[in-house]
This record gives sequence, structure tokens and C-alpha cells, in this order.
Amino acid sequence: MATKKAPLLPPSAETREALLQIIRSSQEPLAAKALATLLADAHTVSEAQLTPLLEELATTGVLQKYSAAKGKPRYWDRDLRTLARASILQAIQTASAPLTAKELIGKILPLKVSEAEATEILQAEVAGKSLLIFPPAKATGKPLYWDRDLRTLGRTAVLEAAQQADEPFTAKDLTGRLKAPLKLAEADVAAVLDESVAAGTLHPIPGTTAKSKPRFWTHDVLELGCRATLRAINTKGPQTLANLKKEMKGLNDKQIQHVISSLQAKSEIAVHPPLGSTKHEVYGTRPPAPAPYLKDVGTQLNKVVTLLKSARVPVEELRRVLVQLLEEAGISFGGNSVPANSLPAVDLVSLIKRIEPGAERGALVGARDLRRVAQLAKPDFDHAVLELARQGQLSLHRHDYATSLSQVERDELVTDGDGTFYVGMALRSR
Amino acid sequence: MNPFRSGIVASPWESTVVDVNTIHHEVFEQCLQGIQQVRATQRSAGLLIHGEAGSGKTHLLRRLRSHLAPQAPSATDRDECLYVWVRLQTSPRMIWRTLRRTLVDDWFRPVSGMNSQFQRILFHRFAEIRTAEGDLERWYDYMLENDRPGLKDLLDRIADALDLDRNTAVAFEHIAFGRHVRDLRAWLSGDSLPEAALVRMDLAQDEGTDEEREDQSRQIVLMLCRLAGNGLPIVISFDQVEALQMSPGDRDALFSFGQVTSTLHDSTTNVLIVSCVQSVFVAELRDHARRADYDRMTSLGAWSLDPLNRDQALQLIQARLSQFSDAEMSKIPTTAGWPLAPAAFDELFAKDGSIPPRQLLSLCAERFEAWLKQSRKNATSGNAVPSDPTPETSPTTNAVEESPARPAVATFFKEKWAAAIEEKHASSTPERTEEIIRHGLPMLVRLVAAETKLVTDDLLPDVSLVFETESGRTGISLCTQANMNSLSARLKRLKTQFSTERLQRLVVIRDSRIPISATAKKSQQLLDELEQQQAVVLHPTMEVLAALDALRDLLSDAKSGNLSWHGGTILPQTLEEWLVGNLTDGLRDLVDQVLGNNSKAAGKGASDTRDVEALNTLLATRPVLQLDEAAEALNRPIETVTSLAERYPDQFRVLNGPPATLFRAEEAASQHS
Repeated sequence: MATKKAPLLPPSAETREALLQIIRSSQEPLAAKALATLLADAHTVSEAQLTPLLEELATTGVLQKYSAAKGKPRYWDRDLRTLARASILQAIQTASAPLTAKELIGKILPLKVSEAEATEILQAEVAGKSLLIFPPAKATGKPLYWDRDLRTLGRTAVLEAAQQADEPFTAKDLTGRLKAPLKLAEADVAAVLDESVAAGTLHPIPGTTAKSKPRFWTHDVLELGCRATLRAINTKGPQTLANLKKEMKGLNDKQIQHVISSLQAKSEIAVHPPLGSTKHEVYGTRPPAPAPYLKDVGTQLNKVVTLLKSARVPVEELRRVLVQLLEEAGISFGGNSVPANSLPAVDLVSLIKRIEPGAERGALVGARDLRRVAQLAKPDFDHAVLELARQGQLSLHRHDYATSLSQVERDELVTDGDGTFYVGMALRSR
Repeated sequence: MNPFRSGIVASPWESTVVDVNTIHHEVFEQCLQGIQQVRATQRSAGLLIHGEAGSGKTHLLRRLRSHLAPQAPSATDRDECLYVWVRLQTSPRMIWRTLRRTLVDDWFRPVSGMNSQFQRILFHRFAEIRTAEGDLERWYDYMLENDRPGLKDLLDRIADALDLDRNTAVAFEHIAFGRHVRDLRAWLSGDSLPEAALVRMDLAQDEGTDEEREDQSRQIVLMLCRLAGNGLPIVISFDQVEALQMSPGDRDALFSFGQVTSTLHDSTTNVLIVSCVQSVFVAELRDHARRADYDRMTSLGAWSLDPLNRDQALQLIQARLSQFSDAEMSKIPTTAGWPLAPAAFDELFAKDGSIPPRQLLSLCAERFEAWLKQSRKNATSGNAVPSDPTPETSPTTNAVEESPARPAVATFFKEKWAAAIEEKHASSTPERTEEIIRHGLPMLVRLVAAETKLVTDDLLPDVSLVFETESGRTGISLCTQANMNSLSARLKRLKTQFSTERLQRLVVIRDSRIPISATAKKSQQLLDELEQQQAVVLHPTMEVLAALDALRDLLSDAKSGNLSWHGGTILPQTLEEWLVGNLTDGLRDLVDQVLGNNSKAAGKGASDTRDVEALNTLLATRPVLQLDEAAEALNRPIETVTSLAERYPDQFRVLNGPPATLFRAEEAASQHS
């Protein structure tokens, strides 16, 4: 036969006092079981005995009761929601960027609030317009909350990024570079950029193709054309007008003509007359090398001089006539004569400084890049570079595994002809 | 002693032996000016240093590190800096994790026998707010001993002022009070920690997917930089950038590196980023990194480490010889450039006027060795000391060519390979397993199964490596978490991802030193379920991990021009060719097991994993025990346990009794060695 359980005795007044003291010193609401454990040292009382007392205190308003979907109710003498609200608002005020409910919970520890409770508080503040809500950065993310207007911050970030751009950019490009606290949509960025164009602080730049999106820049389209032209010539050598047009995508013919004329006027580019079978002029950053143009004249001159010598025309007489011819062509012999130095008449050091602005500070210049701009025959170029290294003007940097390169790649390096290849050079006297 | 022998500086943390300050002085000054600029403008900046192999890049970093080391106790009126050296021997998808681990390791390292860099951060932060006057470190010791609540209040104020997140604030407090140092270091490094350790430290750890872990590491690095503050600039030097490339011409690796430097540049205010690359690599870096990233990497310019000219070469030789005492010096010939003969010395500069330091030192070392040998011989025969040892061969090329007078390069490789494996075995820890596999396995597979492609699949975020062969795709997932909750979460995600049938084969790699604990039923169940889905579970042995670590280390050194033989640079291809013929059986088996090329893995995997894990768990607490005790603990017949040990000789060993004893194969190997 089962024994009948004795009715539970209510806790004593002393236990009741101790219970209230524990609850008041607690940092969070506690369940009856936890309270019974905390009372256990001085007062032997079970969870079942405590529950009616806690319910009574909650009914009379001495305590607050917090029920949860799972688990037993918890009790506390303070209003958790009010405390949580104050802490969350304080955390938001000091936050340097919008935060999710979960992140805010981490900021208000040791106060423990569930994500759902925190979200409810935040939504109430959003409804009351004391906070702003922002969509998450990712589709799977959670909304963010802040007390500041992101539009103003976003606008500042867009303008700062635009000022720092060293080449034209689309709204999409700039969106990826923004340092704004929240990710801005491309459309928002585009709106700010359009405003800046209207205000004259940015220039519109056409897209690279008809279908491309419009671009923006702090410089105008003519400056873009100038830079593209010089970059193409510096990296690929002299170029035809047709090739340069390809580099200036988005510019119309009138603008391209303007770019070419202005660079010529500033002596930044020079026209090279057509040569050999090429029917087009090309543009280089230096005047053309005369030797290829005079090659045919030289051949004919050789033939004629040989003929005249065989006819016993005195050499002195020949020299006198030739000098006269040259002077008539505008070449004066009154100045310095050509030095007997075997080095080609190209100032490689100046060229290095021109193609690599950091060269004077010690940046490496690739042999390939310098070779293209110098426009010298390979043996002359290699010889000139090695000579400058021996003179201490350059330091050459070896390529340790040139054998693994293709012949074409190897030909672009500098070689001493004895198995050593150099990938590039740096100025020594900097 | 041969003063020319130490030609390669392996790490900037090595103590300085001989340094000629005038060599590369300009680049060194640029680094110092860079630090001043970061301090003055409170904006981070980048500087690229390039030079040919053996030009002294790591040597320069050592000079910088040594210069920045504190010379006296911390004080408020002294400008100080923090230093981090990151050797990029890692997977491009783990750069932030590598940076985080290295940064934490370097900041826990005592500098100049004094405090760690973390403690210096602490002192600087205290110096900003404390009211007391006098010596900072003595004040700190006093507070630690007599006023811990006061110290705690100050730490709370610092955390509030810096808006530190809770975890960082708690970690900072542990550093200040010197609590839980080992676990704290592991937590800061991003290692997976058991739940009990996290509870003890009152810290949280959310491991997440691969991408999330990388992102967490990024946040931790940025937070630690913020913790240091503008008063304490940080030099982060990236060395061996070339080693990031998983295959020749790998663009993704350089793109990722560019992104990391850009983030550091833009998201911090106190970092000087110093990136070191070989000259031959500069164009590739510039072409493959995003333009904007390259611009940030070089915001303070790109600087060349020039090879030595004649005067600098003489200075270096003289400095090396000056290590000798006066008595020893009196025996050495006084010719300039000795131990090289004058004609040989002149010939070094005839071609292009310069020579890389490493090549010069190697030549001198060989000549000095020969002279020493001759001197000893003459001393025993009573002859005079020679001035010039033997006729010299012309040092015309920098690349390695075999010479009949020198030992074969194969001998060099063999010795280097054996030494590297031994060193890696001694320093092996389970926390490094993921990095070793992720960085080393693609290199190994490229050697053994060249036709196999390494591909990526963003829809498999928990699969770290995907290999593609004609027969389909094999995914590798590293499940080496010590935290069983994290392990369980990863296995759960992995199960879902494997069900999408984007892989024909899944290999789960575990580390037998971190077995699934007896209470982690969920993890064990998920592992069982994965095996039912035909996933293969592998436990590479320490020997295999050490060999793989050695392989990636040597190949990375070769790629970055740091593997040198007689002053010449060994090409990666030369090393690869030698490795193909000399790989250990364990490494070949690993590739076979990973790619499913033999039945060994499939044959013993499926039904054994649970028992292997259980036996590893048991041996983790009792490394050596009687066989019958093991059988009882596992609730298996003795024959089953014996059979298991026989099938996995690389993990377990049985010593026939009586009494029969079971122990780890690793224990046996270490005792044997």
C-alpha cells in the first residue's frame, strides 16, 4: 500500500527574508530550483515549498515573474525589460556602427536577455522612431539597429572614396570600396555621384562600351585620354592613332584629336613619320630614332661614294661636298662632334625615371618594360644596361631560373651572353 | 669556426651575429621613416622590399626587429613599436588565420629577455590613464601584488574606452593578471579548445565554417591592432609571399594576399606593412594583385635590396673576420678580400659590378674551409701557414650546377630532408595539422599525381580542398577540433553538404591526438553516419604529418629563393624532381588513401573508425596500459583489440606479455629515436 505524502509546510518568515535577500542581490532572474539550492546552506527548503511563496510574491507585485516557452518560470525583483532597454540603448549610443540584436546582447552582459526579447525591445524603439533599422548586409543576415542616419555617413564615405580614386569608376566599383559602417546599395551610391556631377565636383566619364555603365572621376575625359595615351606608349612603345583610339574608349573623335594636340603642344608626345612599308604615322614619347629613316640614303651614298672613289675623286673633295650637302639639309657641323663612345644615344637612366616614378626611390624596373620603351636592338640594349651596371649607376637583379622560361620570355631579359640573365634593374645613385 | 658559414637568416627573431649597417642602409632607414609616418599620421602604410634570392631580405628584417626591440623598461616618454613576422607558408585561404597565430605567438614571445609584447601593450595602455608617477613596471608589480581590484578597475576603464568586445576585454584581463596563459594563447591563436577550458576562462568560441573562421581571424587581428593603439605602431612583415602560390602562376594566391594587405591598410591606423618578395616575382605580384591593393602595399614605395658592390663586399668580409680574436687574426693574411684571392675577388665584379651577399659568403666559406684544412695540415708537418688555399674556380653563375669537387646536390637534399622531418616531428602539435594538410597536401598531390587538379567549390564551405580527377571530385575536410560541440556542428554541416552529391568522394581527416571524447556521443554518431554515406575517415600519423610539413617547408623555401647550395639558389623544379623519387611510403600512401587509388583505406575504414577513436581516447589519458584493461574499457573482446592494433600498426602497438601491453605507435617511435 502506498504511503500518503505529508502536506508541505510553508517556508518560515526567516527563510522568506533570506529568499528576498538572495533575489535582490542576484544579477538575473532565477528559477525556484536555483533559489532552493542557494538557500540550501542555512535553510532546508525544497523547490515545491518555494514555488507557492514565489507565486504569492509575484501576485502581490513584490517580484516579477518571467515565464518562458521552455523551462520553468524565473523570478526577480526588477523589471528585466526596463533594464535591458536602458542597457541596449546605451550600447547603441556608444556603438561605432549599426549592430544586430545578437551583437547588442553581447554588449550588455552580464545582463542576460534572449535574442527574441532584445529584438522585441528594438522593434518597439524603431516603432517609436528613437532607433533606425537597417537591412542586413547578406540575405541570410539579421537586421541592424542604430541611432544615426546612415545616409549622411554614406554620402561622406562615397565622396571620400571618389576623391581617392586614381582612375574612373562606376557606381558599382565605388560601392565595393566604401568604408561606410553599413553596405550601401549601388543605386544609393549612384544617386550621390549624380548629385556631385550636377554640382561640378565630379566629371561624367562615358563607359568603355555602349552597354557599360556610366563612370565618374575627379578629372575630366580629356585628362583620362592623356593618361591612357601616355600609358599605352610607355608600356607598348610608339603607337598608331588607330591603336591609341582603342586605348581611349568612350572618347569621340573630336576629344581624341584634342588629347593628341594638347600632348604634342606640351612636347609629351612626338609624331614619327611613316617608315618602310608602314603607311601610318606613329606617336612616341620621344622623337623618332633617325637611323632607320636614313638607311636607304646611306645605302645609296655608299654606292655613289664607292663609284666616285673608283673614278679617283679625292677623298677630301668628297668630304667637302658631303658636308656641304648635310649643312644644306640643316645639319650644322659647327657644334660638338658625336662622341666616340660606343653606347647608343639613349639616356636609359632618364628613361627609367620616366617609366617608373618610384625608380628614384628604389623601385625595380623590369627589363622587358625598359627594353620596349628604349627601342634599341637587343645586343645594344643589353650592352648599354650592363655597362651602366659596371659604372655603378644601376644594380642588376638576376633571374635564378631563366632556363625554365620560354625563348621569347628569355629574350625580354637582359643577358651577359654567358648564361646569366637579369630580370630588372634599380637605380643605385638615388 | 668558419665565420662565413651562416649565410642564411632563417628568421628575424634569430639573434644578430654580424651586421654591416651601411649595407642596405637606405632601405632600413625607409622602414624607420615609415614607422614614424604611421605614428605621426595615425594612418597605416605599406612598403614593398624586393631583391634577388640571397640579397638579404630576412637579414634586413632581423636588423629592423632588433632595432625595434625595447632597450629599457617601458616608459611613457619613449617611442616603442611592436613587431610581427609572418612567413607565408600557408594556404591562400588561411592567410588571416596564419597572421593571427603568428601575431599572437610573436606577442607572447619575451623580447630581449624582458616582457612580452602583450605586456608592453598593457603598460602603454596603463600609462595613458594611471595617475601615479614613477616606474611603470614596478608600479604594475605593486598593483598586481597589493591592489588587484584597483588594477581590475583600470582594465575596465581601458576596455570601455576602446569599446572592446566582451571576449577581447576578458582576454586582456587574463593577460594582465597572468591567468590561464596556455589556454589563453591557444584561444587568441584561434585553436579549438575543449568546452571546459572555455568555461574556465569565461570566453566564447564560435568556430563556424571555413570562411567564417577566416573572417573571425580577420576581426581578431584588427581588434588586437586596435588594442595596441596609435601610441604603439606595429610592423607586420610578410616574408616568402611566393610560397602562397599553390602552383606556378597561381593568381588567386596573390589576389588574396593583396586583399589582406589592403584590409590591414584601410582598417587599422597603426600598422606598417612590409612585404618582401624576390625581384623576379615583383611583376607577377603587380599584375595579379588588384591595382588598388598593390597601391596600398606600396603606399610608401617599392624598394630594391641591391646586390653588393665592391666596397660593400669588402666591408662584409671584414666584418665577418672581425669575429676573431687578435691572436687568431694575426694568423690570417691581410690581403683585401681574403679568403678570396685578389684576382678572383676582382672577377666577381667584372660582369655587372655586383654580387649577392649570400653568394659572396658561400664562396668565402668554401675558401676559408680550404685554408683552414691546409693550415692544420701544415701545422702538423711544420710548414708555414698558407695565404691562399687552393686554386679557385670561377664563380660566374648564381644557379646551382653540379661540380665534381662538391658533394652531389642529391646528398644535400637527403640531409636537408631528413633534418626537416626530424625537426617537424619534434615540434608537431595537433593545432598545426589543418595548416599542414591544407598547404602541403596540394603540393604533394601535384608531385605524385600531376594530372589531378585542385579546384574550389563555394557551395561546400566545410570542404577545405577539392581534387578533381577523371573519375570525379574528392573533397577533404579537416575535422580536428578539440571542442566537441564545434566538431559536431562541422560534421553535421558536412553531412548535408556531402548529400548534395557535388563530390564523388569525401575524406574526413582527423588527428588521433585529439580523439572524440567518451561523452561526445553526437559527434561519434555523425561520424558513423558520414561513413554510412561512404565518406572515408583518415587519421594520418605523426610521421606522415611531419614529412608533409617538411615537404611544404622545403618547397616554400625553394619557391622564395631561400634554399641555397654553395651560394646558388636551388630551383623549385630541381627539388620537386628529387622529391618525386624520395618520398616516404607514408606520404605516397596518404595520396593513395586521399584519392582512393587503393583499397587499403576503404578496406579498413568503415567499421573501424569508432573503435580507433575510442582507443585513441583511452590512450590519450593512459598512454600505456595492459591489453585486458583496454579491452574492458572499450567493452570489446581482447582479440578484437589485438586485431585492431594489428590492422593499424602506424597508430597502435602491442607488446606481448605477460602481461600483454598496448601503447601508442608514436610513443614507440619517440622512445626508439
